Amino acid sequence: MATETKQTSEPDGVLRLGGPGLAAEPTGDIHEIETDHLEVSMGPQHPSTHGVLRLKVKLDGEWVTEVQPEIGYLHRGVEKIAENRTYFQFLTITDRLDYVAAMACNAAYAVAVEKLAGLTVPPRAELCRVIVQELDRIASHLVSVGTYGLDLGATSPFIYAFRDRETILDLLEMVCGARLTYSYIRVGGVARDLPEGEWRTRFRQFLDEFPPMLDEQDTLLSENEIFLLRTRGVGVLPPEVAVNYGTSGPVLRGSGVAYDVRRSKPYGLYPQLDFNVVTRPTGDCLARYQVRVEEMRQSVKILRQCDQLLDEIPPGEVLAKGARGVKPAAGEAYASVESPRGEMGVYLISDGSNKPYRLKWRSPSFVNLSVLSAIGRGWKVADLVAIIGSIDPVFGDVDR
Amino acid sequence: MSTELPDSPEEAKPADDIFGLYGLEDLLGEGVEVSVPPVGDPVVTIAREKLLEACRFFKEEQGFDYLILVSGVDRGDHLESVIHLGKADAPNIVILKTAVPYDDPHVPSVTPLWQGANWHERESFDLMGIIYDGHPDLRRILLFPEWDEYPHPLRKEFRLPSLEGKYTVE
Repeated sequence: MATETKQTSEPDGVLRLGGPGLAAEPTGDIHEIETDHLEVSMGPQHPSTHGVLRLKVKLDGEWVTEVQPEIGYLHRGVEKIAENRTYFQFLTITDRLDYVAAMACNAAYAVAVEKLAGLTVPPRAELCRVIVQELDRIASHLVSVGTYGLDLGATSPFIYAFRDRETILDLLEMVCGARLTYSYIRVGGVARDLPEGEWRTRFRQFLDEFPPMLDEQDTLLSENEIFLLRTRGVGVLPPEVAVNYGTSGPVLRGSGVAYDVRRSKPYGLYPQLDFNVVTRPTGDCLARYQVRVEEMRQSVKILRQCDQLLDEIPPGEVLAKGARGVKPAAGEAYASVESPRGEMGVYLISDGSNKPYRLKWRSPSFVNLSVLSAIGRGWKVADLVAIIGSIDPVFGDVDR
Repeated sequence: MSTELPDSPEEAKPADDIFGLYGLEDLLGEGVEVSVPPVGDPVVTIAREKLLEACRFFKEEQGFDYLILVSGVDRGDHLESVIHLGKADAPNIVILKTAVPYDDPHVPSVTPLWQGANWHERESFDLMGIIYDGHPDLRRILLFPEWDEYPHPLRKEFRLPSLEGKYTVE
C-alpha cells in the first residue's frame, strides 16, 4: 500500500506519475504471478466515486495500470442556459453548479458581472458575503472530510462532521431561507442583511463551540493508524505537475504551492482580513486532508474578525443601485473566487444586451479531476478510492 | 507550514511593463496584435500559425506557468479560441485570442505545454466544435459519443428548444 512513489519515464519522454505498481523492472511479489489484464468500469453508480463519476480502469491483478475518468453524466448545459437568461435570472442556476458550496458559485458569478458592469458593492454587503462564504467553506470541507473517512472505512467522523455542518446550515437557513441552493449573494450585493438577535447569538456560539469539536473529529482520523496507512504517501502529486495541470484549492496547496485566490487575486473584503494560506509540502492524500482541516480553522479565524466588523460596519444598503436590471456595456471580463475546491472563475462576454453573450465557467472540480489519470496509476483499487476522495470532486461542478 | 504570497495587487506593475508585450509584436512579427484595456487584463490577438510560438514565449520567457482556462466563443461570423494564462505566484493574467473560420475550425493544441489544457480543449471541441491539432485524445467529454443531432450546441445557430417551441437549427 503506502510506499514511496515512483516516477517512470516512458519511451515518449513524458514523465508519468503513479504508485509502486508501476515499477519499471518487474520486482518482488507484485509481478511474480502472471495475471490477465482486465478493463473494469467503476461507476457511475459506485458508492465511493462521489457522484456520477465513471472510471475506465485497467487492472493487472489488483493493480491499476491505467485510469481514465469519463464525465458528463450530470451535464445540463448551464453555459447555454446562461445565454438565454437575463443576468439577474441566471443567478439561481449557479446554485446548481457546486451544490455543496453554492455560496461560492453565487459569489463567482456576482463578482464577474460586477467587474463587467462596473458595479460597486456596498461595504455591508461585502461583509455579509465573506461571512456566508466562510461558513459555507467550513460546511463544504466538513462534507469532504467526513465522507473521506467514510470512503476509507471510518464511519464515526462522518457523523461528527454532519452534526457540525447541520449547525451551519441552520445559520444559513436563517439568513436566506435555503439550506443548499442559497441564491443569497446577488449581483451588486446580497439579498438582505444578516439577521440580528438570535442569529448573532447562535453565530457566536458556533464560533466558540466549533474549534474544539473539529479537534475532536480530526483526532479520529489523523491519529487513526489505518487512515494514516491508507493516505500517507498515496497519490503523490508533485508541485510542478499540480501547477502544469492548473489544479487549485486544497489539491494544489497540498502539494506545497501557496496559491489561494483570496490572496493572489484578492476580491471583496479579503485584503483586510488576517488569515494564512495553508500549504503542506508532501502532496499526498494525507496532505490534502490536512489542508482542508486547517482551512476550517483559518475560516473560523476570519469569521471571528467578521464578528467584530459586524459592529463596526453599520447596517445599511446591501444591494448596489441598478443591480437588478443590470445591462453591462459590450465587453468581457474574467473574475474568480476561491471556492472550497479551488479557483472558481467566470469568463463573461457581453454584447450590450440584458443577457450574457457567452458565459464560461471555470470549475475547480473539473480541472482537479483531470489530474486523476496521472496520479491514479500504479496503485491498488482501494488506493484509487482514497485518491478520488482526496481530490473531492462535486459533479454538479464538473459536468455543469 | 503556512506561507503567504508576497504579491498584492498594489505591488504588481502595470501590465505592459512586466509582460514586454510590445516586444512580442517585434518577436513574432505579422499577425500579433496587443491591446491593454484601461480596465481588465491585456489581450493578445494572434494568428493561429503563431499561437504555439507565442504560448511558448509566455510560458518560458514570461513565467506564465498556470493555465486558467481554454474556451471557445462563437462570434457570429467566426469562432474564437480564448486562452487565459496566469501565474501560480503572481496575480497577472494575459488573454490570448485566436480567430478561427467556421469552415476550417483548426487551432494548435497547447496541451503539450500545459497538461491542464487537455480537458478544456476537449470541452471546447465537444460543445463549440473547434478542432485542436496535436491534442493527444480529442473526443467528446461532456456529451455522449453518439451525440450527433446538433453537433456543437454552444454555437449560436443552435437555439434552445424550450424557447423556440421546437428544435430549430438555422
